[in-house]
Amino acid sequence: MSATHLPRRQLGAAAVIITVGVVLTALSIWVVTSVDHQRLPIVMGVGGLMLTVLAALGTRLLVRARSDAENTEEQRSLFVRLQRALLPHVTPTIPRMEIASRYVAGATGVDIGGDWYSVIAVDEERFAFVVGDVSGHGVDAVAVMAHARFTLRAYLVDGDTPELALQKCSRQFDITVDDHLITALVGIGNWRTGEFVLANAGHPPPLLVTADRTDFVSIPIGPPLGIGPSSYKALTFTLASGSTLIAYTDGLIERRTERIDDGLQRLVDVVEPIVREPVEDLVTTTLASMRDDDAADDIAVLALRRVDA
Amino acid sequence: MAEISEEVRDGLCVVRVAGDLDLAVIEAFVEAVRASLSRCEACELDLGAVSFIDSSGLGALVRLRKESDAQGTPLRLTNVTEATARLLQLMGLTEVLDVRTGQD
Repeated sequence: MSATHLPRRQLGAAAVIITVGVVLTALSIWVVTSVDHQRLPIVMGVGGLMLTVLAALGTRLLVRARSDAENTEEQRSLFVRLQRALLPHVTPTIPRMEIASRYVAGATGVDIGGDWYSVIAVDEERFAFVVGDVSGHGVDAVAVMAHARFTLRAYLVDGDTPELALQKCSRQFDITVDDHLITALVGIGNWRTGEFVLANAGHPPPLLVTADRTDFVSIPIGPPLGIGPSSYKALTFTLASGSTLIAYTDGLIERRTERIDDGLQRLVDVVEPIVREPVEDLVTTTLASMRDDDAADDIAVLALRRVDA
Repeated sequence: MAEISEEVRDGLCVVRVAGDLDLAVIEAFVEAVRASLSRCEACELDLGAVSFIDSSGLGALVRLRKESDAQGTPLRLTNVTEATARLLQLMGLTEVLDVRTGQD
C-alpha cells in the first residue's frame, strides 16, 4: 500500500470505462448505419440504457478506489498519531544537559514501527534515558513498544540500575508469544558528576563524541528482551563537559546492501565534521545525511550533551 | 525475494535460504523450518547465501530456536557469513543461537 495506490486504482477504473465506452460507441455507429430505420428508436433506447448502467458501475468503481485510498491514509494517520502520543512531548529539563530527540516514521504505507526514546528524571542529580526498538510494524508493534517503554520507565523511576531494569523487563516478555524482538539501550546519568552507567539489550552501540575522538561505546551486549533468562552487564564512564552521547535505533545505520560496520562507519563520518554544532542541529543534520528517502524502517535518535555549569 | 529449499539426509533436515531473509519471506521460512523440526532428529539452517536479515528475520530465528529447544530437536545455523555473524553479535544473539561459521 503506497501513496501511488489511489491514482493506480482510479486509472484502472477509468481505463475500463473508456475501453467499454469506445467499444459501445463503435457498436452503435455500426448499428445506426446498418439496421433499418424503423428499429432505430429501440436500438437507441437499449444503447442508452447500457450506457447508464455502465456510468453507474464506473462511478461505483471510482468511489470505491477513492475510499480504499482514504482508509489507508486514515489508518496511517491514526498509527502516526498513536506513535506520537506514546513518545514524550517534552523531555524533562536536566541541568547542564542539552538534549535533542527525534522520531521519524518509515517512508511508506501504514508500516508504523515500534522505535521509541525516553528521558526520565530520577532524583535531584540523576536521570535515566532509553532508546528502544520493537521489531515489526503496525499496531501490534506499537502496543509492545508501549508495554516495554512504560515497564522500563517504572523500574528506572524506582531506582533500579540499567542492568537490573533490563533484566526485570526481559521477564515481562516472551518472544514466542509476543512475536517481536525488543532491543533497548538504557542509561542513567548524573548531571553533576558526569558519571554515566549504560546497559545494552541487543541494541546498536551509542556514539560518544568527545573533544578529541568520535567512537562507539563498547557496552557488554546482552540478548534482546523476552527471549529467556538474561542478565546484563553495565559500563560506567564519565561524560566530560562538551561531550555528546548519541543513541539511535538500527534504522539510522542499516541499509540492505551494506554491512552493518559500514553503516556504523558512515555514522562516524557524518557526525565527525559537525560535532561542534548545537545538539539540535547535530541531530537534524545527522538524520538528513543518514536516512534514505525511501527507507522503510522507522528511526529514533536521542542525543545528550553535557555542558559547563 | 529469498529462495527457500529443503533437503533431508540421514534424519538431518537442512533448510537453505538464499537472498534477503525479511518480512516478505518470513512466514514461508518459519513454516519450512517447523515442518523440518517435526520430521527430523536435527535441523540445520544454511545461511551461507543470505544477503540480508531484517529484525523480523532475526526474531524468527530466535523463535524457532525456542521452539526447537522445547521439542528437544537441535537447531543450528550453518555457513554463517562474516556479515551475518557480526550482526548476530551486535544483537547479543551469539549466545542464544547455535552459530557455526565454517562448513560442517
